[in-house]
Amino acid sequence: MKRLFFLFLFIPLIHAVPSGAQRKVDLRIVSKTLNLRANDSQFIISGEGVSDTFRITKQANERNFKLVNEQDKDVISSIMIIDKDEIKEKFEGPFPKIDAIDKMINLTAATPEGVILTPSEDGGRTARQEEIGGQAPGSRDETESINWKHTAIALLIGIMIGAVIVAVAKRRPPLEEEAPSAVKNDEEPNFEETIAQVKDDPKKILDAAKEKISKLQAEKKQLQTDRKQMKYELEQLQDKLNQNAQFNKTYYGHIMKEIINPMNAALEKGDQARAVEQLLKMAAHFTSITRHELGMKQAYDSVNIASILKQQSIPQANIETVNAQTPPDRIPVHIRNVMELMRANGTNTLDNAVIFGYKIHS
Amino acid sequence: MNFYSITLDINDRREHNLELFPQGQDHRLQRPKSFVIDIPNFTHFKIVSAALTNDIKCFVLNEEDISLRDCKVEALRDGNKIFIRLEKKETAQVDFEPAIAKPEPRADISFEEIEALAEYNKPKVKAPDPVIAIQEKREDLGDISNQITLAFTSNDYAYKLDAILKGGLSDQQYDDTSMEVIFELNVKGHIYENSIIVTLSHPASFLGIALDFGSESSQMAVKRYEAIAPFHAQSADNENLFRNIVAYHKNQGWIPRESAYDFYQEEKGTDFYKSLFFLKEQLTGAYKNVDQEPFIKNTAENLKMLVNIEDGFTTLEKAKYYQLPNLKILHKHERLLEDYNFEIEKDGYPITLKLRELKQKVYNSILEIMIVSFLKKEFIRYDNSKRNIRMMLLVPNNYDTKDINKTQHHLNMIFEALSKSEEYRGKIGAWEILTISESDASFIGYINKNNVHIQNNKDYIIIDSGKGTTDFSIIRTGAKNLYNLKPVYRNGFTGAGNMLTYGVFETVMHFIREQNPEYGADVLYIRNRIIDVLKSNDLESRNKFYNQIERLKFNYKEKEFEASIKKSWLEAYDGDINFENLVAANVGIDAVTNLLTKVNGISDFYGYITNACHFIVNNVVSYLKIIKDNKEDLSLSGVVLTGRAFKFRQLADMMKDKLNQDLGIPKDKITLLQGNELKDICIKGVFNNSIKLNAEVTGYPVQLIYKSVQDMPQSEIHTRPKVSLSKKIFNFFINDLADMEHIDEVVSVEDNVNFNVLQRSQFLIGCKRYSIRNDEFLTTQPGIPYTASIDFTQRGFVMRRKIGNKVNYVSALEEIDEGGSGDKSLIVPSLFPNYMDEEYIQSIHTEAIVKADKSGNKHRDDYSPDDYYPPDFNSDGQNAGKTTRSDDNPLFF
Repeated sequence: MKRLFFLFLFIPLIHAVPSGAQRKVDLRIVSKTLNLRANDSQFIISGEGVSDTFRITKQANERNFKLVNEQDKDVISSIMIIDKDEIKEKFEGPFPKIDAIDKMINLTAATPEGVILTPSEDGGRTARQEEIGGQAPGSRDETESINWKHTAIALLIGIMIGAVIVAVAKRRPPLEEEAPSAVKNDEEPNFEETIAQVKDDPKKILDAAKEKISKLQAEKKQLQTDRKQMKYELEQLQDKLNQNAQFNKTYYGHIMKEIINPMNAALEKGDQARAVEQLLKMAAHFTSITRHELGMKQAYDSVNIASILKQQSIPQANIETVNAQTPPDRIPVHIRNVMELMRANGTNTLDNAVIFGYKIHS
Repeated sequence: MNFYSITLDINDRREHNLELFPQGQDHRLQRPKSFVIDIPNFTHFKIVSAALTNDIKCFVLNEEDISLRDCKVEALRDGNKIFIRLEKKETAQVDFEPAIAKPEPRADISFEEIEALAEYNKPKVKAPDPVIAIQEKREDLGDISNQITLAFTSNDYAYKLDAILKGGLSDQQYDDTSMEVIFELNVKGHIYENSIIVTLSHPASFLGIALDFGSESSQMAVKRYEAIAPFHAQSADNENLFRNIVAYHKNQGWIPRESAYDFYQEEKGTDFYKSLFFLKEQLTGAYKNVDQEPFIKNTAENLKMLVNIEDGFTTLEKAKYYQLPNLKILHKHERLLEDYNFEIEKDGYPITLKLRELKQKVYNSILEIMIVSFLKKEFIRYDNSKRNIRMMLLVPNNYDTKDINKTQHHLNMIFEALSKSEEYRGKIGAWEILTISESDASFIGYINKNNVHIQNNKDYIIIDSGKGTTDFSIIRTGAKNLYNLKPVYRNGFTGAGNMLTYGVFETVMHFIREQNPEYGADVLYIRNRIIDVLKSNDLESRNKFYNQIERLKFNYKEKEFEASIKKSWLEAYDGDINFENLVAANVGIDAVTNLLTKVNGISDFYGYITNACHFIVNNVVSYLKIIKDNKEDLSLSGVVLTGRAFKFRQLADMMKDKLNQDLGIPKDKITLLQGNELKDICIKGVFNNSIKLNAEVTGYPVQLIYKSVQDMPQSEIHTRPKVSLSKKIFNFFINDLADMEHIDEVVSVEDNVNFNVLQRSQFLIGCKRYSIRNDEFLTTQPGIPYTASIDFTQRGFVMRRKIGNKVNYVSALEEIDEGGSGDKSLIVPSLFPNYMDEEYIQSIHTEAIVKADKSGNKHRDDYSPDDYYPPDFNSDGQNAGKTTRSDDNPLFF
């Protein structure tokens, strides 16, 4: 129920989450909508009157992309009239310890459909100012001139409306067991009681209101952070789910096409050699995909998966090729048994399928 | 026993105890000991001599030792027979004039010194030096060939049979001459006699062969002289033993001549032949009396000495051949590997033979092929030539007199058979069989090069730690002639470089268990996915895994790097597999091997490697210390460390520290041989003709006197500390060393043993312990002052009991059986990876690995040393939880 109460307070701050896969980000510093896209080698900024492409790269042993030409950051900053702190805040997430622009590039790269940068509304600007304690550049004098009494009264009204909503909500049956809130504060003094005690002293009322406002601001900030994090995690999970779904569709599509259909055809035709070939390939790939799903894959399992997906870059693994000319003493027993099985059924090759780290050819 | 024993020096290079038996006894039926003397191309050389300082030892009851000084000696010649007759004089007067102001004969004077002072073939031209002049009596025995005259000389120091060259040795008019030198001793009218055969070989016909039958690899070197005058000696050359064996197999049609296979037995870049042999389970061939046959029949079919790397192993495995375990390591331990059953068929009946029953036959057959493969080439290259051969076989220090005699006997049989064969008849003239301890040979090789750094009359230790065995010797250099070497002590034990490799293997297994505390699943995983493969016929998987273990051994890092090494192990990945999830993933040995390729080195995480080093170091030094503490005149001046195991720096460092600490040898006196020196020095050293050594004497007796039962506290008698099996390995108290906790006193036996405490004494001679168990010997009459001495004979060491000077009783020393299952705990690590027995893998018996606190963290400090040892074994030496299958443990490499 407390969640409802704080939700009410932040209604103006919440943007609608875009329903499409494209990530939408509000930036107060951009004056027009910009589209960001990234692939393995390029980071593209496009918008009205703006179109620029920057080369990016990622080393094999690194997780993150970075600009090939470090000076491009200045160009990007000038296009967006960028504030690094804001970029850092908006694109924070799984890229700690890297530069703000790099964060933006990596988040864009992690979002296949790209990112839309839109100019933020006033609410966004105000929210930001509040988050940073009213320290927005160029607004210092205005901030200093705030009449705290007015602010307190305005907030009190807000609180009272909130209290009414709470009261209404109390009458409703609980929808579900409430989960503990991240901003739960059991030690919060009862504001109404405090007001009642100091009703004759406006200064004390103002102090109590200030204290209350300060706490609420902190809670609001925490909630905002949590929301962002959860939103990001949700996006990540959605991305992952999408990727998995895409992977499964592609992988099993290939398996169906490359392994299962030919096996069925071979069985129907009575072609035992081909059927055994496909069965052994199936065994190899099924072993690899199972270990992959269980997080137990060996290096050569990645090779099997990459070969089914027909990926251009094959992962590195120590794979040996054996054939009928390979000296028997140089072949492990289990591979020799597979070869025996193949020989017995007239099977010559398993193509690129890797079994126990070995490729078997005729 | 009824004989006298006289110590002879043959050709000033070898000591030989000749036993003189009553005339007419059937000892003459045996072939006399044969010696080949390569005639040096200068004026004279000694054939045989006897130093007067040596007594003729008596093994005849109620008789006594005879001093050579008290003997009248004469030499007679009858054709090619030289009779040297010794008769005890009634008075102790010598039959030649003593020198003026004759000095006391020095026991340690060398024969070179005597030679230098003697003047042959010309009258004296100046007055003898009153102090060092030697009076000699020389008897001309006539010419033995057209170029050599024989002479018998006696002086204050020795009796000598000399050969004098009449002129320069030519290559034309000399026929190799064999003569029989017969020694006759007349004691109160009873004649005791025996003889030796000496062949004087023209240098061009002489061929020295040295064969080192190593536990890991074997090698051969040959020594010859130039074929043209002046017949300079050539330096010893290594023979490519492997190539010779391949050529012989092709020559015999055992492998196709056109085959261009590589073989497992080849050690690329060396002349070595790797000691890998396979024997067929179903042996073919007609054995009349299988126990007496010295060789394997149908060698080509039954014994495989070459296995091609293409399909050789697979083919042999299908045809049911067993790879023979290391023959040297298994010496005396054959009973431990009873799983290997072979079979011959006779008259329709299958006759089962154990490996121990076949081992000697296999060994003889292998030796024969090695020798013949070289001789075949020799006689192809030098067509129609004749060779007088001196065959020197290097033997490990755990060979006792019996083993040495047996080996020499079989080598004699090989040469006897060859000399009579159609192919070699007339080509092989005479042969001499010589065995020499490997560590002695190493020292000889070492002083050949480093004589300037070696002091006279000092004791030197040589420690040879190879792949499977560690041998060590103490050798005393000559007082005047450095090369007049006396073996003081020899010993050896199973355990060397392979034990360190096993320590690395144990560390890997322990690490896997530690990272996978699965309460049993980890052990099951190691058993099923690793050990079973190592025990199986999967040669490729085994080799790959073993190569990684060896690679880690050679990338051993000191303890200070342990944390970073362990971190790198924890961070190692192959795909998703790391050391923490491989048990859960139940991956095969190939995944473990792949994972090991990702780590660069190893440190001694759990102490296995250090313990293996400790075992070797402490075992060596403990034995040496016993000698040092009890041999008063021992003067240790230096140590030479040799053998491949010392390439492992930690072992060399620990050995140096321990030798310095316990024996007080300065570290700068400890020399570590490196690189090619390691093997070369050993095999080539044996050709040094200046060295005089009695290779048959295996050691110097030490009497170990045990506390009497009355003296022992009651608790000690009944509650002898139980030493668990693996503690025996890693606490360095093995076998006899463990028993020595009850020793009261240790005394060296220079002359007489302490007779009164014989019943509770044992005698440490070389690597063996002996005792007297003969009741009659120990039964004495009160009031009679008995003495006893230990003496070397051709049958081994015997003990003589004397009353006064008269021999009262003679009894053989009986070897104390060191057998028992405990020995296998040394054998298994030393045979790794050719033989696996999970009972002897410490890391899978260590309970502590699965212990973790509530948070799942394990702390190294929580482990007590006892946690690293397997459970004790019951009285049968069998573990109660034994799961080994005895039928699935073939040996591979």
